[in-house]
Amino acid sequence: MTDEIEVLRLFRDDMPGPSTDAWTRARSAIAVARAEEERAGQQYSRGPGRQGPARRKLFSMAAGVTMAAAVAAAGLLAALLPNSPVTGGHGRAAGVQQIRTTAYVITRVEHALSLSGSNNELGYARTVYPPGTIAEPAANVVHVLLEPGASSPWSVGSTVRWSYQGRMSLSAFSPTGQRVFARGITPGHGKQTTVVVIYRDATWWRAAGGAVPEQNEPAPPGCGPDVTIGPGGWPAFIREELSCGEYAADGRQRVDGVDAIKITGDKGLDTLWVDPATYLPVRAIFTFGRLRTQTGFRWLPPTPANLARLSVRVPAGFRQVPPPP
Amino acid sequence: MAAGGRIAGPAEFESAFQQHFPSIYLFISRRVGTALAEDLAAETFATAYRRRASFDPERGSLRSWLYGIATNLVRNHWRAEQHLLALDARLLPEIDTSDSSDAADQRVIAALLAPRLAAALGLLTRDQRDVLLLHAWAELSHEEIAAVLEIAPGTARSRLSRARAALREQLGDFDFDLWMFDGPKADPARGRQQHRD
Repeated sequence: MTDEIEVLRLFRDDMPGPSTDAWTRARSAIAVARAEEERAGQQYSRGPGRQGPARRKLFSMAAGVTMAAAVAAAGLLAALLPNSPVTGGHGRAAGVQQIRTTAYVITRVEHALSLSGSNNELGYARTVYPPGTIAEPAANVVHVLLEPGASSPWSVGSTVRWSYQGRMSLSAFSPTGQRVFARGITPGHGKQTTVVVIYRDATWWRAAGGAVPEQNEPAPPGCGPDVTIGPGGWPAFIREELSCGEYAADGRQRVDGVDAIKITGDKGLDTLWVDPATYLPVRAIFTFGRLRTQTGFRWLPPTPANLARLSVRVPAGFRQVPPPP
Repeated sequence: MAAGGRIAGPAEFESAFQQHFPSIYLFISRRVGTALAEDLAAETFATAYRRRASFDPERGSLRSWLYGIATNLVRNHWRAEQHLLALDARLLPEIDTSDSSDAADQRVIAALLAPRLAAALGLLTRDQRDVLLLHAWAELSHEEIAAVLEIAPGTARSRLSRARAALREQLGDFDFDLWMFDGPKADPARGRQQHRD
């Protein structure tokens, strides 16, 4: 027996958890509150009959080390590099993050990307494709091509990809927002299982394989002619892009609520915005020939709600069919 | 320690932050959207930090105290919440209702219901919506809701009852047992979905 409360909870469960940026903002707000308190010289008490503890640093405990370390590193960086050619600043106030060289930024980005797989973060990426993009799932890969003016049941306008420790789900949406297909990959015992749900004809199929690339969803081509996203997912793909072109830090720009560092390039990775607190991508624009795509990223904690996004559910009544060749 | 005890110390506060930030964020995010949620969730915990000495576990749980702060902040953004609900109410579900009866996937049902729920929530009074969503989304008990809103438990209970009845009335043609809208009342014109990022 269900009721309106359960229905409301279903409504609620469709939301992603807080992003890395949301955590960072909250920590910053708390740090500001703490600083204000310290400046005011206030002594708080623990309530009637209790004695307040000695004041300590708020983020000195082991919990939340990852973000605390990132924030601390950013603060240290600001102290070391007061005059930034990126921001064009002169003697900025302490706490403002400033970066001296492109090389430094790229190094930090590559380092952050290399750690992203082991940081227990769940990756979210939403890519928007230009009109005429076709994405068709095959047994081991999703083929993506641009055919302006063509009418295809596999026309996509955007994809949403969730990934975490080898698991991945990809949902493809038509230009009008209808579901086209969903694809899930689950590793296990040296093999992985791919499940694809095709909403257009209410079918689904499953494919099992060993040496199947783990993450090969519709993705913008990179600096090579046949670049696909490999087992390392978006982080590895962006690192490859950064290694095969020339890039320049190009100031700051507010993107998706983040005062991001903008990096421009001359290859497939056209523009990359990274979070100055974590150096992880916030947004990227890829250009290859006529195909120009934009991807927004979020790096989320592996909460049960977020982990549930990795699962591709086959709706009841959908008919199983053999996987395509 | 922070789950039910005081949070005056840095370690206790950090523990409370780690434990409750995701759920507080989600609650706010669902109500006013993700963009505003980041600011309000941050402000909730900044406010909690400033007022941590006033938290008394004997008067209510830490969870309800934090939701109280969040609810007050959300109340200051009533127009943003109304606007979001109005947008949600105009969303179109992704699958024709004629195709969905066999596809009893909860997500499909949720997609079908989302605009109706948004419209229904938009018609509730501020007090009704607060109490209903604190119960449904924050999963607070009547006693906790009473502590959050600083009202009597009996008032919280009756207000929740009225809010549920109002919501149910708005969803009048939805069969909660079969999880479907009754026949022709389901809107056949709805055929696609828009996404809000």
